[in-house]
Amino acid sequence: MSEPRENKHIWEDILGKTGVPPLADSWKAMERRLDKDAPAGSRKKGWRWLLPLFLLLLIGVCNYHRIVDLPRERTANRPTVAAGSGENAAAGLDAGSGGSAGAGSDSGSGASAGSGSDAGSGASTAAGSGVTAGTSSGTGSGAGARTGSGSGTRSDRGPRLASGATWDRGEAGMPAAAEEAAAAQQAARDTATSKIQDRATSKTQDRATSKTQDTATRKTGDTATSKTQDTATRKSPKKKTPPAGPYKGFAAAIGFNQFFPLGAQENAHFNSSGTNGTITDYLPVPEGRYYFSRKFYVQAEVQFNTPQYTSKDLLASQQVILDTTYGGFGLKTSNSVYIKKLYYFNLPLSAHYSPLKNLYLGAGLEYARLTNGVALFQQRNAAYNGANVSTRDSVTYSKVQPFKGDSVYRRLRTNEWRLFLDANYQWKGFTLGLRYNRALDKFINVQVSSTEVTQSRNSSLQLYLRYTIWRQRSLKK
Amino acid sequence: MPPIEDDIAILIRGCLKNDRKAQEQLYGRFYGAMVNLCLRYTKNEEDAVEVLNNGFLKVFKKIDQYDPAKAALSTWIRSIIVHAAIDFIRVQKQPVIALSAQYEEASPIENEAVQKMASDELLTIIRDLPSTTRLVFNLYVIEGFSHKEIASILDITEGTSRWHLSEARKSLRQIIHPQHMKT
Repeated sequence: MSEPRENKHIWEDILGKTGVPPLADSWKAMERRLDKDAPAGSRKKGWRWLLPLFLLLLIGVCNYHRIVDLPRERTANRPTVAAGSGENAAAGLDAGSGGSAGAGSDSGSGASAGSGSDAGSGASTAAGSGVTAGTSSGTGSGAGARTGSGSGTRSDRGPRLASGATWDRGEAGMPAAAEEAAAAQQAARDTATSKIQDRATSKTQDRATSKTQDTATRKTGDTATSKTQDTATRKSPKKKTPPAGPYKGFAAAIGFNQFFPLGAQENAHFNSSGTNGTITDYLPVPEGRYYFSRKFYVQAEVQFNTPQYTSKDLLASQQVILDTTYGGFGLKTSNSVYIKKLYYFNLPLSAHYSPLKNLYLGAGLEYARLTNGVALFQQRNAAYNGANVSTRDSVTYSKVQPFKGDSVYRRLRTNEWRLFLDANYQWKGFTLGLRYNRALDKFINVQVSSTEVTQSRNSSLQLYLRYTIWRQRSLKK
Repeated sequence: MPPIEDDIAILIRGCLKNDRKAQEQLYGRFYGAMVNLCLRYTKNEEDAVEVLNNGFLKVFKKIDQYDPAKAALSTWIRSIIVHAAIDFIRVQKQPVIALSAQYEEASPIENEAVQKMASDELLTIIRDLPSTTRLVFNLYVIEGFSHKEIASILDITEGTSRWHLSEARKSLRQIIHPQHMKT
């Protein structure tokens, strides 16, 4: 049985007629609460978590093709290196770029063994010579200096590069005896074994290095991102009512760049250390803006370790040594350095104008300083017969490594200015933009041979994403 | 869809986007009814506005959970505001009241007596009640909750709820009846 009750409608009707506080005052109080707890423009704070997720996704997508292509490229590189001389020749090239005296002498002996066998092979059949050449250059490396020096006269002619770097090359005469060739083959086998071991070691080292780098970068990235989020999350409740006055003031943002090769430029999956893995190409970019109005602002950025792709096979230096000692038969050894990627420290300054809501178009000037670069150091041997027709052409050394501070680096322009055009779209603290820049001067302009001049000018296309982590109170409206 | 419902749907969409204009319009649309409700639960206008704004903050934050198929928007907002009022009273330190084990349960106040009261007078009388007693009276008489529901909401026993209602009726009758008798 229900209990007796008052008639709720009567009570509600009577109480509904009471005077109420003014709506405007109550709404003002409500608005303050809303600005504090649910500021306009940020529906949910959970959105902030989407920024690092999106950036990680972007990096992942950008690196996907490189990860997929990596094993294929490694496989492709392997026979080239295996066919070549390997370690001693490497020492020779390192000596060229680094200038170590000890390595230089090693290189000399290594090369002498190679050329000795080559000459021998040149005298024999073409097919045989190819194999012998490969093996014999390996001999030089495996057997050390003694094999080479025993086989012929070691002469460190070492012609110099235009820049001053020395490419030591030992030279040998005709191989005198067949025993020597047999000894060379035995040594080649030893070299092969040691090469496999070396390769395994270097692979492990590479993997360890890249893992360490990746972990370090990831850690730095995580810390930076979490700091950003923390700061953003901590700051959001402090937001007050939008201030009156002009839309003018400073804002700070942070983000990432993704560079794309342009025209003849080639994508290179090396980092600034010359190893695989390009996570360090995505160092966060801090950015500062000053808004003069909603439609116009100026901006400055600091870009660290910015990659700059270069044209395919951009020859920075080449040294060719011809050996025509043996009556028409000859050996041509060329030591070449192909620039693969450059790294710059950039300071772009730009002005932006908004012709449409949220869309900004800008232009600016960028100072760029070369901080590092990676290049392919390659040595090729080519044998010629009497009719000056190449009977074989083999790569005896091939390695990608950084060249900062060496002769190649000194050939490049280390400071340059660039002009750039920019278009970006701003939405709720995010800025997604596209920028094209072009250097005012060529970064390389060298004569690599009597007939060949290498010239190139930097240009790049970058896609960027920024997130505004702080803005002055006058901009919060 | 009728025009009013259409308007409300637009307002809800705006509120979902955290659009201040839409929020202001929604607030204005239900302000009168909801602030009246809050005035009954609180001692003064400031507290009433605070309760109202606490409630509306929840409304704006949880507007995505509103299902038009289940209830009208006004009903949904009202239930949120009532709970905001309950929370407001809960967090205030309540004076300890010694409940008498034996008491005579008061009967409902006569409708005629209430109808002759001025609205402001009636509101003042209700506001003068102790906060928990006022809360129980509001929940039982105006919101239509049962003692079982009130006990569950306020985390008290049914007996305590009954006692508070009885105390409210007695107090109100003491003021309402003499006035009723005068007229």
